[in-house]
Amino acid sequence: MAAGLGWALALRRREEPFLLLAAGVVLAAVALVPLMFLGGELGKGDALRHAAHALSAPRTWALFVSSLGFATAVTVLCLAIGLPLGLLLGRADVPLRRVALWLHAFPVFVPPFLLALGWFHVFGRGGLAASTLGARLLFSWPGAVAVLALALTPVVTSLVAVGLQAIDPSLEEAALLVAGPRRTAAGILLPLVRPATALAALVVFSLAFSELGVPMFLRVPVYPGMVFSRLGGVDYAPGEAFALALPLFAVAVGLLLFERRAAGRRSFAVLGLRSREVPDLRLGHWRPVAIVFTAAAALLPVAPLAALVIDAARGHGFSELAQWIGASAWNSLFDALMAATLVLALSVVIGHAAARGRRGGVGLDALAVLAFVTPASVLGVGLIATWNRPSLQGVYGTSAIVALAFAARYGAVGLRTAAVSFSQGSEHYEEAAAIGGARFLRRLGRILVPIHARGLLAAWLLAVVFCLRDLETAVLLYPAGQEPLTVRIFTLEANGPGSVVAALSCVQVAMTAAVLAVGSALLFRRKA
Amino acid sequence: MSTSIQLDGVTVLRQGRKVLDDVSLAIPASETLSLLGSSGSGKTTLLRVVAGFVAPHLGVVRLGDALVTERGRIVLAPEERDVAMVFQDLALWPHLTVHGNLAFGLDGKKVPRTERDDRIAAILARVGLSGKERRHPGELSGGERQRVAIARALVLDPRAVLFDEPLSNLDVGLKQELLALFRELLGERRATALYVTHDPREAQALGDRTAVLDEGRIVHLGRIDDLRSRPDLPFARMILEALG
Repeated sequence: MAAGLGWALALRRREEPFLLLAAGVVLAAVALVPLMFLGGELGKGDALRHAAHALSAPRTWALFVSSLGFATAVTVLCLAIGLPLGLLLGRADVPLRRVALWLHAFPVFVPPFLLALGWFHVFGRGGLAASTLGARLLFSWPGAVAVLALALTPVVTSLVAVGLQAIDPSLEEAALLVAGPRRTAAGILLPLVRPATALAALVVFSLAFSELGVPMFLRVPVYPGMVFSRLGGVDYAPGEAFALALPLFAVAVGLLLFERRAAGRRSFAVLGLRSREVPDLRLGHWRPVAIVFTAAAALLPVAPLAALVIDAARGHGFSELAQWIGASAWNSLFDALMAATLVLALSVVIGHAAARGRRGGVGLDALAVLAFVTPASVLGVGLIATWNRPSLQGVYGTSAIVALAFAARYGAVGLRTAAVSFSQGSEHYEEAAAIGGARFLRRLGRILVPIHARGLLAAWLLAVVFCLRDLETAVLLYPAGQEPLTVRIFTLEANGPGSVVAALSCVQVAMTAAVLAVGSALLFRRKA
Repeated sequence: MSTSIQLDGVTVLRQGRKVLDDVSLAIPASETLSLLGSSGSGKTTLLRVVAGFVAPHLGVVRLGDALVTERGRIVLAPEERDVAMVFQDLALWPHLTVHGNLAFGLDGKKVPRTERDDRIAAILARVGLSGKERRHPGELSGGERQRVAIARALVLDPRAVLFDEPLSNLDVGLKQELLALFRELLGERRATALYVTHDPREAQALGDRTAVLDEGRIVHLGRIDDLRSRPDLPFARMILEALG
C-alpha cells in the first residue's frame, strides 16, 4: 500500500520524464525494435548463408550504386529547381505567389507513381501527346528521375520559402541598405536558409531512395525493388530480403549523421514565421523571366493530373468505379487517421522535449528521423520480422500493423512540425504555469496544447497526408482484403482497365485534396 | 526576522564560463530586494535559480526553511516552491481570459470556486481592472497587461514574488505609475520580492535594499545611496550618474 502510494507520488512529481519515457517506449517499439529484429534474423538458420549469397552477387552492388545515383540525381534536380523557386515564391515580387506555391506543392501529397501514371497518359501509348520519343524518354532512367524530381521539388521549394520567411527581417534590411536584392538574396538569404535546404535535401533523398512505385512503373530497376521482390514476388526469399536490407540501413544511418550535422535542432529555428513584414525583393528586368518560371512550376503538375481525369472520363472509368474501389479508400483513410493520431500523441511529448532540449528528447528525435530516412522496405522487413508470429496476429493480421508502420515511418514529420511550433512559443508560458503550481500534464493540457493548437493540427494533418500517399510501407504489410487505395491502384496498374485505374487515381487525388482543404480551413480560420 | 530567500555560494556555469560566481544572498521576509546589473551580469539567471528553472553547479538555495536546490539538483520543482514570477514579456497565456489567467494557479491549488472568484475579483479591483475579467490579453493595453501580470502573481499569495524586468519596455509615465502600484501592493501584502532591473531609478524606487551584480558576482549589497561613498568603483559612478 505504502509502496504503491510512494510510486504514485513519484509519478506525479516526475510526470514529464515518465511521459517522455512512455512515448519513447512506444516509438522504440515501432521504430527501433523492428530494426533490431532485422539484425536478429540474420543469426537464424541459413540466414548468414543467404546473406553471403545475396551480398556477394555483383548485380546486388551494381543495383545499389545505381539506386544511390538515382536518388542523388533526383535530389540535385530538386535543389536546382527548388532553391530559386523557393526564393521567388518566398520573397520576390512575383504576382499570385501563394496560389502558385499551393499548386506547385500539391503533388508532394500525391503518391509519386500516380504522377508517373499521369505522365504516361500524356506521353505514353494512346496519351494526349503520344510519341515514340516521348514514351521512350518516359520509360527510361532520366525519365524516372524527371518524374520523381517534379513530384519532390515542392519539398525543397516549400522548406526554402518558409525558411526565408522566418529570417529576422532586420538581417535582410541591413543587407538591403548596402547591397542590391540580388546580392542580398545570394549572400545573405540563401546562406541563412542553409539548414532548411539541408533538411529538404535529406527528405528528398530519403523519399527518392525509398521510392518503389515510380521506378517499378517506368521499368527502372532499383535496389528497394529487389528487396520487395524477395518478399512478395516470384523471387520470394525472405532470408535474402533481410540481408539485402542491410546496405539500405547503412545508408539510413549515414543520412541520420548528415541530418544531425547539417540541420538537426537548427531546423526548428528556421521554420517559423516572421514577426513583421518586409517589402518583397525587387527582381527588376528579371521579373518577366521569373513569372514564366513560377507559372511553369505551378502549372506543370496540373498536366498529369488533368490527363488522369480526361482518361478516366473518356473510358467511362468513373462509372465503373464502384465495382473496383471496394473499401480501399476507407482503408486508406482509416489507417492514415489512426497513424496520424498516434503520431500526434508522440509528437506532443517528444516534440516538446526535443524543442526544449530535454534529456532523451534529442535522442528520440534522432530515432524518429532514423525511421524516416530508413527505406520503407527495410522498416517493413523489420516489422514483418517482429510482428509476424502467431501470438501477435491481433496486430499483424489487422490494419493496426499498417498504422504502426506509418507511425514509425512518418513520426518524424509530425514530431518536427510540433517541435518547430513549441520552439517558437515563449518558454515563459509554461514557466509561468509551472510557477503557478501546475505539474507537467496540466501545463500540457491547459497551456501548451491550446497555445500550440495550430502547430499540432498542422503536425496531425501532415502525418495524415503522408500516410495517405504511402505505397512503399503499406504494400509490404497490408492485411489480406484490407488494402489501402494506393496498393489497389498499384496492383491494378499492371493488368486492370486503364480508365478504371485512372479513375481510382482521381479518387486518391480528390481524397488528399479534401483532407488538405478541411485541414487548411481549420488551420487558417480566424478566431471569432 | 525570518529569512524568506537564501542563496549560499551559488555558482552557475555556462559553456565553461561562470554566469554566477559564488553568490550568497539572504532576503528577509517582507523585504523587497532590487537586483541591479547590466546586460549579461547574471541577474536573470539568479532569478531563474530561485524559481527553480536553473540548477546551479555549486551552492544551495532555501525558501523559508525548505532546501529547494542544492548543488546541481532541483530538490523542489518550480511548481512546488510557492513563489510567483512576473516575466519580462509577461507571459500572459493568450488563449485564456484575464479571469482564466488568474484562476489557473488557484485551480491547481484546489481553491474552492467561490473563494477563487472572490480572490480574483478583489485583486482585479485592486489593480483597477474590474469588469475586464472576460477580456483576452490581446484585447488589453500595455499597462493593463502589466496589471494582469502582477495580479496573477499576487492572487496566489505566494511566499515570494520574482520580477524579471517587467517594466523595461514601458514609457516613463506608465513606469512611474506601475512602480507606485507595485510598491503599494507589495507593502499591503508584506510580500517578499526580488526585483531584477538594469535601471537604477527603478531599483531605488522599489527596493528596500539593492544588490549590484557585475560579471556574476555581487559587488554591492545595501542601500543604493551607500554607493556615494564608493566613487572609486566604475559601476558606482555609472549608477550615481543615472540617478542624477
